[in-house]
Amino acid sequence: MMQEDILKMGINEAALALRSKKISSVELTRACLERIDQNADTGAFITVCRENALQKAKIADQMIKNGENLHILTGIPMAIKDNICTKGIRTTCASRMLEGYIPTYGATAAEKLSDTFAVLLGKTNMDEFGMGSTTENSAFGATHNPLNKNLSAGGSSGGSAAAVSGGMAFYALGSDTGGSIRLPAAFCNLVGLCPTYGAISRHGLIAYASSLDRIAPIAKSAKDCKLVFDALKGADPMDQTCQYPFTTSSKSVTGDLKNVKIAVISQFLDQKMDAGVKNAFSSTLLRFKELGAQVEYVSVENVLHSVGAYYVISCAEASSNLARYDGVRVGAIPDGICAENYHEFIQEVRGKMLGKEVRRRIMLGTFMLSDENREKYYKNAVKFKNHITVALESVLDRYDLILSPVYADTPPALGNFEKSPVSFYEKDVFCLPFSLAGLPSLALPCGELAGGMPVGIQISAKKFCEDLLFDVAQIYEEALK
Amino acid sequence: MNTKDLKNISKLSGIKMSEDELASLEADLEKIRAMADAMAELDLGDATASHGVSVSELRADVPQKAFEHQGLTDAAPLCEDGYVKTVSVKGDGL
Repeated sequence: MMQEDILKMGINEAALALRSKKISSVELTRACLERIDQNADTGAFITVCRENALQKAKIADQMIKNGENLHILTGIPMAIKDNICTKGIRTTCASRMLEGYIPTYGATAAEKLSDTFAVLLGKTNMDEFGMGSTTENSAFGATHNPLNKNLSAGGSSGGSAAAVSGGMAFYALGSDTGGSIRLPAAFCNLVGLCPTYGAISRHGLIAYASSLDRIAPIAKSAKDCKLVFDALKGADPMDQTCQYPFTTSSKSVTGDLKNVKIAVISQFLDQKMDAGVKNAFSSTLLRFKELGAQVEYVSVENVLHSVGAYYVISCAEASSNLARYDGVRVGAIPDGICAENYHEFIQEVRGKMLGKEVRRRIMLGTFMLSDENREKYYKNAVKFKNHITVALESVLDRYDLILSPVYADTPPALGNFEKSPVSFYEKDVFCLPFSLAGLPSLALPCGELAGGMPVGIQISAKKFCEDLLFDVAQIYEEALK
Repeated sequence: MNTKDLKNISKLSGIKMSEDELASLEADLEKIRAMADAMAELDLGDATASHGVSVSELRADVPQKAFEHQGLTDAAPLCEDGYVKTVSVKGDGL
């Protein structure tokens, strides 16, 4: 098989090809590794595990040869975001602070994939500690969008999305705190899941904002995304917030969307949006109606304040979570540090080893948690989080899904984030309410703009109703064909 | 917020920042504070309890993975009346 044909395959197709011996896992892995070399200028990977990958692929081939009862992901090459711990493989969080960190244990999600004998190709680039939406804030350089290398691949899981979109991996794990999977998926023409908070274990995910962080897959299709989600979901005694109930009350749909009720939040449509993105969203609404869905507009008061609440909560948690990186307890120490006392030493180390955006968010979090501001800002933001959760859940009591855009704009050109970071924060407005509410959302492609760049939409459902999202997405994908 | 306040936050955060960086940060912090101020003015009332599972519990019907740190806790020093009892440690030691 030609490299192009190999790398176009979905997971199911590749798994069938492996079982029918049309191709081996070693050949799949070699094709991906070659593509990684060809696309090195995209900056998708921080670490490539060439030898480990080929060794694992050989084991998978032997298992297939022996006719063992195999998992569908066995022998399929994939990549993992560099904030998810991988046993014995460097995990940097795209930070100089963790440049040489080799975890002694693997994250539950990484171990679950390893147990299926999936082939880990390497660790993907990201915004440092997950803080950013363009994968420019990485100590290892920016990730470029494989569809147009002058543009951002989105962030913070930009490396994972670029790896899948560029044919360097069949799927990849990312993490989503406030849109970090959904944005890159939308910018790279992929399907990305932000699961229910608690559906996939966070054990071994290097924390940014623990009450919002989630691990999940980015893949070429809803079907692929579901296959990986099914392998990852489930309760984990190592993460007390992971409590996936194995029976959910999710509605099941097949063929069309005739019994599906969809809500569109009217406040979102009043937001400033790129004309092409708005048109693509309107066309999507029409397509859902054509498929039989009942689409109605609902008002969710205060939903736009989610941006403020998210940045108060996430920065407050980040300032606490990242306090350990001081070069004494955790983290590297740069050369030439000159300090008279312990506090000066820490200030020097953190000033030099953490990137600008990380320092900005830590400072913001410290400000929000200070004695005079804690009550007014932090506690109020937590109150808002409960408020928006109740509001969105009451919408989902009456409707099966909420449909919204992923991002208000086209993928931005690289180099713009630092000029105006807050304007980038504001553009996360469509993802943040669902992040705060802990609801599952699935980003999927809905069209192409004049310049050839993709546009994404997201569908959100009740907690633990990921299966409904995948069913609806597959019907929609079929209709697009 | 003035530079003195920002220097104070920088000290509390354990992060050294240059004067230039502090100046560029000032405007960004003000914008975020404006968003937070607008949110603080909302009359949110008391939110009712959230739907769905909200309490973590290990379920008897879900097979749990072996607790991998069990070996470590088994080997932990024993305590008596809050004091650690000296135990012999296998291996080469230090």
